[in-house]
Amino acid sequence: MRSLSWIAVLFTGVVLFYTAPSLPPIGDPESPASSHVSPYYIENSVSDMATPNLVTTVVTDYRGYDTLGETTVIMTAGLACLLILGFWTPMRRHPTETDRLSFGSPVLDAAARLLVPYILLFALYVLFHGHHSPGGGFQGGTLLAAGVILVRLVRGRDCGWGVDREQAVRLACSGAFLYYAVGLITMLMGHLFLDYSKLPLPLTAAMRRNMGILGVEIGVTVAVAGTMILIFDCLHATPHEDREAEVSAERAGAEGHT
Amino acid sequence: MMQPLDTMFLALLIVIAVAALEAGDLLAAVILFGAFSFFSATFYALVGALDVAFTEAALGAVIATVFFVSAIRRSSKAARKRAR
Repeated sequence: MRSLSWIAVLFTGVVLFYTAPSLPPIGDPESPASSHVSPYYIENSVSDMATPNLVTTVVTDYRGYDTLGETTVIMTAGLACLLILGFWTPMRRHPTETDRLSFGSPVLDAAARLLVPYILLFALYVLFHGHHSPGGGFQGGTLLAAGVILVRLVRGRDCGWGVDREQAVRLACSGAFLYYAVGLITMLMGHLFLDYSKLPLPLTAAMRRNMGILGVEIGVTVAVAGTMILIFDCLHATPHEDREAEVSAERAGAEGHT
Repeated sequence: MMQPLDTMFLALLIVIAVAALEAGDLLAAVILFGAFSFFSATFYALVGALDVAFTEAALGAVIATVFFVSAIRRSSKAARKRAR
């Protein structure tokens, strides 16, 4: 098995070194990637939807169906983790001392208190500034989830603003639903699915598409954050049998003290 | 077209991957895997794919590491020994 892994790593490494030099230079107008649809995106992105970050416009507007599928796949992956791993771990539990302070230490506690607000603020910045700078729904959602997971690692499973497994499922599903809802609104207005320029907003067509992108990005953020917290919760929860041993050990410890 | 910096990062990626394979401890392998993600994110940023680099840094280096550590914590001692 070990030798097989070695072969895989070295083969991939050789392929990497062999193919990386033949990548076209960045910004080469003759390269295949920039000679078909890219010129249209580059010329029309700003006038179409007032969004300078081309990656955001391509991901959420020009190729919006792909991202809709990705969001659904992420949500489904989280639900699959819940189906497989959630079977061995209890959904609702009575908290014990170890839950409240799982990694508890004053240094970690102080560091988390300092970091978490900035992580959450940065997540929102990444989400709402995704139109103008690298970032957007997927990155923002991951950072939001990272903030919550950090709190739960340091302060124990009962902290993290009450985002338990049920809430995480709700977040993941409602985020994906928000994406579909934007598309359904445009369909209800009698136009194509996910045609943001037909959203019922009192704005110019470009700004309506801009707002449509924002709505979709918020949906992706909520879905990704919910899914990440859900998977973490499933992986991190203590299985039933270990749990019983833990509780009885704690009881024995408490009796020993008194 | 290949910059010397690109070559350096690609070589570093292979070295870290081999080190993660050879690590005697699952936890060490996971941390090395996080380092692998971090350097691949840096490589993506170097070639101009900033959005991809951002996703790789947030998902690969942070969240995936946490998931792996949680999974190791839950796996039995026998399974951990077998993985070595």
